[in-house]
Amino acid sequence: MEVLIESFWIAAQGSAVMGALFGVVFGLFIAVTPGLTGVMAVAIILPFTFALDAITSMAVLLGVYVSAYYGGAVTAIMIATPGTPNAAATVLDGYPLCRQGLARKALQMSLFASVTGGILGVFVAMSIFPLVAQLALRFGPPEMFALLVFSITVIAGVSGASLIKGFLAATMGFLLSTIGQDPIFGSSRFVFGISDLMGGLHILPILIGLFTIPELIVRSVAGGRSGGAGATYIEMGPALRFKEYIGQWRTYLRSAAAGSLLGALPGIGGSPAAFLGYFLAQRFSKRPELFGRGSIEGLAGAEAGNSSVAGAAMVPMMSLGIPGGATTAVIMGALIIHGLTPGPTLFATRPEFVYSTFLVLIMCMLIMLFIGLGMIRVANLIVRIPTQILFPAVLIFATYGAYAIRNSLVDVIAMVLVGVLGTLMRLQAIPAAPLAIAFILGPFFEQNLRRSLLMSGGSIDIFVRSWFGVAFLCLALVSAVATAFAHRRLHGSSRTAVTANG
Amino acid sequence: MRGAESARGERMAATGDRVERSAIEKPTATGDLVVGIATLAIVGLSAAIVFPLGIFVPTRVAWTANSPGFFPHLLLLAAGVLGLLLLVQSLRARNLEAPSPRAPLRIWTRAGVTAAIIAAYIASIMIVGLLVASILALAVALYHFGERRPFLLTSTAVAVPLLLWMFFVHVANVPMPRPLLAHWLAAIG
Amino acid sequence: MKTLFRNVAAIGLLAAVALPVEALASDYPTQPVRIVLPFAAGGSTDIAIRTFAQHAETYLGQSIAVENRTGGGGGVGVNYGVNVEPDGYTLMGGAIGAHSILPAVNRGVGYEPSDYTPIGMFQMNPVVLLVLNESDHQSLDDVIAAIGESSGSLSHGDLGPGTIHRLTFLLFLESAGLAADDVIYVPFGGGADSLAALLGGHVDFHATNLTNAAESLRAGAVRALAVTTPERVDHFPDIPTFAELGHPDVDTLAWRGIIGPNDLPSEVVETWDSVIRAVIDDAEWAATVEERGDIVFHMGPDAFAAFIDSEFERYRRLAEELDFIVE
Repeated sequence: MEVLIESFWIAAQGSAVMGALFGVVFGLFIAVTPGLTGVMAVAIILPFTFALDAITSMAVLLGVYVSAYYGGAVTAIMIATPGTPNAAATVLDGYPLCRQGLARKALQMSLFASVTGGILGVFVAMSIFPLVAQLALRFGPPEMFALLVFSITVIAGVSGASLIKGFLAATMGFLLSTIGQDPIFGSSRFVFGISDLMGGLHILPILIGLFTIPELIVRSVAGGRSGGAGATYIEMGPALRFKEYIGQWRTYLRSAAAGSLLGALPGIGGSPAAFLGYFLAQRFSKRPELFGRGSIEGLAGAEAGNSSVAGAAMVPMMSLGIPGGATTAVIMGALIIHGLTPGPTLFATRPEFVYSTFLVLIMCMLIMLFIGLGMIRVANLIVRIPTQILFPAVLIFATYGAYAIRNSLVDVIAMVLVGVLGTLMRLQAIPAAPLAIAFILGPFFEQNLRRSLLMSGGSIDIFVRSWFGVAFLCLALVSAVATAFAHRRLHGSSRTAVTANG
Repeated sequence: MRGAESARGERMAATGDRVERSAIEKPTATGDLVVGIATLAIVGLSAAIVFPLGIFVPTRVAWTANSPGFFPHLLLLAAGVLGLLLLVQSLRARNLEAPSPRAPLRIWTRAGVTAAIIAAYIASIMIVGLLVASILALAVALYHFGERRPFLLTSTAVAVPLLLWMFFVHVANVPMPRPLLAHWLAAIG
Repeated sequence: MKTLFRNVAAIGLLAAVALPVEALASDYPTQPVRIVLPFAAGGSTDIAIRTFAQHAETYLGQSIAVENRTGGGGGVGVNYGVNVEPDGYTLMGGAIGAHSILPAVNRGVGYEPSDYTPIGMFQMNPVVLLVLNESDHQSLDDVIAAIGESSGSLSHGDLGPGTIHRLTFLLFLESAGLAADDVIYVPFGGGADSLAALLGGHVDFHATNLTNAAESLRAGAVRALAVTTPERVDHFPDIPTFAELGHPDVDTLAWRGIIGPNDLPSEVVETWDSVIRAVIDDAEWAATVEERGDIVFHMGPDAFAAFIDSEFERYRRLAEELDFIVE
């Protein structure tokens, strides 16, 4: 308890609060820009923190880090362009809500859900963090694979009317994820002499290609009216009601649980947690048919899911010295440069620093709430722009973003090619979300499958040798069966589904 | 006008109505049939040409989990099965389907022109650089989307790419692509 | 086989005598310098290069931006770095994995050491072989005996195929008279997840950079059975060397330095040579490096180039001998 009080005072220092404020503002600014991700935001701000003391620079970095989990949602909702990969699941319901004239409600819900999920996630991480760290270590390749099999059942939830089409899209996503250097054997696959392809495709150009470009093409069909009276605008619509926010409390808890588990595993990151949170929200929803067409619940599940990773991802770093993701890795590097090497020694010798880190995280989230509300006011400006100007500008915005993500034109070309694919898919009602999920999870899925098989010499019983493996595979089975039943109830048998679409 | 749209939004959210589909988003069983056939064709092409060329599989790891080809081939198999399922399903559904009116040609042309603008934009980046290409593409796209006021059109077309450019280069410190043209000019002069 | 380290020392000494330190008389640099790093942010190479860059700014008189261009085991970043305008404003953070081993084991990667200009090395990074602290394997000999009796049921995990860590373990097996197939090999993606796999007991052995393991070593979670340096490392005196345990051929040392594209103006190379020398003499920087388990080690442009060439040839030969070729 004393440690907690001491760490509270460390966190409450004026300089730390100022640092967090600056970090959040800068982080939101970067994260709403497609192509600039949390990792880049942290890397950009890093050199400026060298001059500050450890806790202040930590506050700046955490501010940037936290806001990166939310910022991408704004563009995902307003212009169907996820600002960061974390917002990949936000676009599924956020953008439909915006098209229905409920942009304000969607923006507010995403912000409140983000902050709620984020704070819950920090509490989970803080209270049981030695346990979470040990739990994360129990996940070897077979256990990871079993967990991923469970996560893959999410695909069925976002498949829309036809499961076959959903899984076809997922297969495409998996295949796209195999481009680049083979993680296990080390040779290149499908590179064909283009050296930039050795690193594989990046998720952000794929998301823009899947969601933004088809939207542009479809929206351009309606064009042809010039300015003035004929112009159309995005509608902000009514504000979120408190009842709507608080009514989702189960969603926040479920998403925070999902995010805390996934976040503590090295390398998984925010977007899988967002999809899992989205899936859980749908699974337990009374109105699952609204998902993908503008469900406030889906939006809340996705945003609470990705933000709750923020706390959990700090756990392996603080307790084991192993960064949970790219952004935490940069933060860890910064701390090392400040002479504070995160890990068991730091926790043993300076526990107050570790706890104050978590408190600073919570502080950053609260700051983000206020800055975010201000940002929604700024969004009021966007809606004054008639769509005939907004959408062409989005094309430029998205292209800059696709380029900036790795300073590579290959990413821009990939964006357009996936854009063509995405448009064709949309014309034929093949869902885009399964492709995105599969692309994100693909490398983890393949690596852990192959690692497990290497470990067992090729026999598949390795997946049921541990209780974790058995548990997650059972969960996957239950989830698959339940989803199949739910799907049948929702869309009827597959044959009628095809005609119903027509 | 705006009030009416907002009211419609409320109603939609309340009733769970789907967002209005545009005229070209009309999936048909025939379309599914085409997707099924295309999938099978792509699977065949991949198995015969793309995979052997794109994946190097040394004999010592062939047919093991260590092989770089292990996972892609599993996926290819899955794609084949799914393509076949879609094919069968769409053949059965085609008989039940009522003929739906096709979108008028004008609408398809508009969508095609948008796609062409995007393609030309990307191609021109390599020649004239991102900034100039963006200004040109934005001007054309604004016109295509229906903006006709000359001053607004030109000022937007110049301002948006330029401001974004300055933001990326100076604030975010991202180096933006330089045009090949500049290299050619340098080589000549 | 002569030890690598002795070669390095000899070449370094020669170069130090042969190269007079020239006075700088130029206006380079007039704008910030970008250092392209082929590895991910937050990894041990990234931290090393960023720490170096932070100190080098003072001596360069310009700010330095480190840019991570990752992918393809470092191939993406190096392919970019060798093709930039040779004006001295875009250089590369050099590391053994991307610049020397990758082209030796993967012919398809698209570059060789002759495609870039080494400017200076500033540190060497020892590789250690780790087991869990509660493991039965108390020593290197225990490991060798256990592998011999295990009939292929023990496993080794590291940062991936075609890395110095994989090569270190293969050299060790070879030196101990064991075959590569005697141990199950489980490749991971990076220092973090492979160390986590050892900590969680999912693999039995783990070869990694000493810096990656330093925290876990200090906390007593893992034990280092041997290190690849010719002498014991000052900050970790309890770790025996492979050489003193009878495996002198296991002498792989990673390194980090600054590398540029070909055709750099000589003033750029000279400026950076003196900057690197100045950072080497910076006691604060040196203390940070050694604290993390790395060794401060300097090589000037010519010595560095000769060193990379000889090393590249060695790895290319080893790759064939140990059936290590990836493509």
